[in-house]
Amino acid sequence: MRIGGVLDMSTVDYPGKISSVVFFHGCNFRCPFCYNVSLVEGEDYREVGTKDILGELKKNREFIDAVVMTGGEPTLQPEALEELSRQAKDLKLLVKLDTNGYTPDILRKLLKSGLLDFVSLDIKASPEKYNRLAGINCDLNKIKQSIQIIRNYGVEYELRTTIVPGQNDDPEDIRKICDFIGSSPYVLQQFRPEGGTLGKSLKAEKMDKNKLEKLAEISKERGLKVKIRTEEGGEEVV
Amino acid sequence: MTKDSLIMVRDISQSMEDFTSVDRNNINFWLSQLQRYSPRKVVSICLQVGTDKKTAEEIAGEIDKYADSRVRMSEIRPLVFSLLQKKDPTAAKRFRAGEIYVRTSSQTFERFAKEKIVDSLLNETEIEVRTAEKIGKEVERFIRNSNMDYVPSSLIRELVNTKLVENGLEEIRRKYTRVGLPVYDITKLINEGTKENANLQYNPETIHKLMGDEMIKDYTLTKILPKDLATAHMNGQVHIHDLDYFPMRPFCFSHDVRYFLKRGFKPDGTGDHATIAGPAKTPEVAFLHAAKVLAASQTNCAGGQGFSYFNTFLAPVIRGLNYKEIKQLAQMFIFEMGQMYVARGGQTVFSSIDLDMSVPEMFRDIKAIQLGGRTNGETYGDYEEEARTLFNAFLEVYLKGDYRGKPFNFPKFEVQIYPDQFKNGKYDEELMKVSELAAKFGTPYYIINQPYMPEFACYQCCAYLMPLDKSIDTDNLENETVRGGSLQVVTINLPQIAYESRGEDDKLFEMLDERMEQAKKVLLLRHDIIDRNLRNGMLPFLSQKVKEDERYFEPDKQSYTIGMVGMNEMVRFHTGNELHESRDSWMFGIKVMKHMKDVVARFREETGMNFALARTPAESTAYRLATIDRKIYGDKAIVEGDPVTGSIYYTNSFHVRPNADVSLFDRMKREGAFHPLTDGGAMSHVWLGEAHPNAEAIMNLTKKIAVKTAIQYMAYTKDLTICESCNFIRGGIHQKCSKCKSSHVQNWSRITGYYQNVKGWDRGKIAELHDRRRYSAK
Repeated sequence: MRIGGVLDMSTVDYPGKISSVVFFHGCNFRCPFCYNVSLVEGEDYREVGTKDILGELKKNREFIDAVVMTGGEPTLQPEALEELSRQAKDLKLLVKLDTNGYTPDILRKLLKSGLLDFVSLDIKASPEKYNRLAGINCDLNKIKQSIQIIRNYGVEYELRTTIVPGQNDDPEDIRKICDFIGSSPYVLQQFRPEGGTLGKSLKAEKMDKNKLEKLAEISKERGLKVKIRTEEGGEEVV
Repeated sequence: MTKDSLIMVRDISQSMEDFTSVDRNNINFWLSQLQRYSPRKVVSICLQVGTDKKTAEEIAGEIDKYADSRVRMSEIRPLVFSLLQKKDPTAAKRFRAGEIYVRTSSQTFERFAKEKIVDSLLNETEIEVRTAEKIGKEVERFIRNSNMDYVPSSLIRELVNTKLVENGLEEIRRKYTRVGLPVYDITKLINEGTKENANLQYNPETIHKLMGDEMIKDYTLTKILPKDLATAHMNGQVHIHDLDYFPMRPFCFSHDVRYFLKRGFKPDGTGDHATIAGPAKTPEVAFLHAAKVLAASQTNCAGGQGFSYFNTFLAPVIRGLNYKEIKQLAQMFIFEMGQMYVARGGQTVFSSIDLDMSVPEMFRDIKAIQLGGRTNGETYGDYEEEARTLFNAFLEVYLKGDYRGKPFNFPKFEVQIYPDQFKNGKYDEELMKVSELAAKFGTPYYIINQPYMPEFACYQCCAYLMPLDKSIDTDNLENETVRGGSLQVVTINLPQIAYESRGEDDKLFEMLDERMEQAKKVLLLRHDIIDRNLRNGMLPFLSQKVKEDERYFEPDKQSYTIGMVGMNEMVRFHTGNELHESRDSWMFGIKVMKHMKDVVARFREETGMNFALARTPAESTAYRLATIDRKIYGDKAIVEGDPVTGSIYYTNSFHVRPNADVSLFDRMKREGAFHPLTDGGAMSHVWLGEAHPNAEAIMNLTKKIAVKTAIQYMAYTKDLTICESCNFIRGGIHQKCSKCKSSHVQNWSRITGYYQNVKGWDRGKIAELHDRRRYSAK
């Protein structure tokens, strides 16, 4: 499998848990605001076996509760993802998947096998702006399908949007996103232009926290459980 | 030369000859003979400045009307001068030019007289009279040959010292020498301040303190410490902490606030120099007294001042108040401790408070001290609710930070946690709040009550553990004197032992014993010094009475701490691997530690004093010892950091190298194994890399560390960047504020035992800061 790296310990990638984080290399989206450029494009990856990663996880096993599969897009390496998840479950670790929801079949398969305990699914934008913010022509049915699958299996989950100034920060954007996702735990994340973004022409500033809070209020009014994640305040319930 | 003056010279030399044959006891008599007035001497002086014989005799005759042989020549000389002015002004001028004036330490000018040199040499040292005379003469000759208008007395002393060295009298010189600072250093201190102590701001009080510090350090090394121990310190074999306070104050102390609730408060310990207060009658005064106790005690101590069981003992005081009022009191105390910027040369008091989530078992049946110093039959067990409320109130204050949102670095907040109570979740709510504080500012220090820990222990200062089991009895529980501290710390330089023993186990342990023996000698010396100072009344706050035969501070109840630096580098040199690299190397480290523990136990038995083995915080020690060893052993010395720039350090105590790329569990497990062996206090650090760690996850992690390792004391350190322009606080070390882009930012982190602005750290510690393996960092 191709990975960008493994973070041996995190307190923020699995809510309330200590987790290790595996960064899968490669992505099927080209979000212009993406700041993990090296995980999406280029040759900056390691080719490893799941056993190697498992070895890493074991070193810290006594302290960690969970492993987070993130990327890139982990579902693009389905065999490795499944195998690693299974091995993690054997170690009695919780498994969380961060995905863009564009591979519903794989998601279903993993859930069906009981390999996932938490799913974070990215919602890039309102339907009409999706292509622009995902950087490809999207079949939104796939994403809808993924949301439905997660709900059906009853695991913990959250939907999340990175709010980028001038791109998807209009109140109307949020309203449309809410229409699209229905009632779900929802997280608005602050865009920060640190270390360069995938879209070279993207000239966005850091998302203002106050504005972000106002947008969060909109989704809260729709009855969603809402959190925001910012540099200033970390994760906060709205 | 005239006949008369020849006579005089012969007279004197005759005296000198006689003098050499008399014993030392007659010295003062002979000296006085040399200096006594005689008309012949007056004539001789006048002739020397070129006046004629007649005038000289006239002057002598005139003086002789008033003077007799009881008068000293030095008293006559002004009279000679005024008569010369009348009778022969030219000669008077010459007379004056021939005088050499000395600028004295009492800020006056006096005429130079070599007799004074001789006097002082004989007074201050055991020099032989003849040698003293010889040196006096040599110095006089030197001074008369130099064209100086006046000579500072400090220079005369330096000249005498030079002569003493020339004459091979080094021991005499050590006694006679002057301790002080070069003008260059003082100018530098005034213009720039210092970097040596991270707690010191650049301000006038600090500059005074630093000058004093330098002098006392020098004095301690020159006069107080026997030569072999001073040499051991300077060669970096051991590091004797706080030399600047060595002849005066003990190190750290943890107080019992009940003592003052019951008896009231005398800031100076006697009431002679300050206002006396009776037992506090209102909650506000009780809290203010508590704050001032720490400040007052700081004037008598060099190290940290703290309160143990603070919220338990204050619980009775707040009965009947609503939460808002209680929080106000907690806030007032915290702000007082952070704002009394008056201690030890313009610093805040180095303070700490130990808080309990619940009233500890051993105090439940102890009679509670109420306002007014009374008891009313109620015990601390009756104040569970108040103790918990006060705990929460303190936490809320800490979480909020100061007016600008900056965290409080003092008083340090220490919290007792009990692994056996994790399962029932009884204190989860409190632990969650503590975790929030850890996640936000890194503030809390966790005292983990491991099964191997003494029931009674308080953590103090930079994490020294006072096992109070032996020194505290029921009497102390009941008479408001659960207190203790470390009187002195001496750190053993472990890597140096490895270099010296060249891979031989036997030699290594033999040298370790030697060094520990040196440490013991220092600690015993310190015991005697502090004991004497207490008896002499120099430490009035500490020598307040508990009862007739017991003082508030008793040297015999203090801990005498032996610490260590660079276990990792020692093990690497000796075994080829570092603590985290091989099990054998790690086990060797444990073996060394066990050995040290046994030696310390033997010291306890031999002396009946509470010797303890502790991890040294090593704020400047790690850099100092690494630097010394690099000088002595060159490339052979294994140091961390960058040897090219000199930003080097040894790994603290038994810690795994700060930048070793190992999992947190591995680090905690390896360090944890040393904790039970460290009966005087150990600490491990979790360096966090996340800007906003999740509090719930931190709580999980804390529980795991407490249950799965033997760690007894730990803290999470989150680096902070505080913007001076917009007050925005951001996790991590950054050069710019990410909110307002200002580059006027402060970087804060935990140096070892407290949070501090990084600006004041020495280069070794700065190197460590960059090296630290931060967990949970992307």
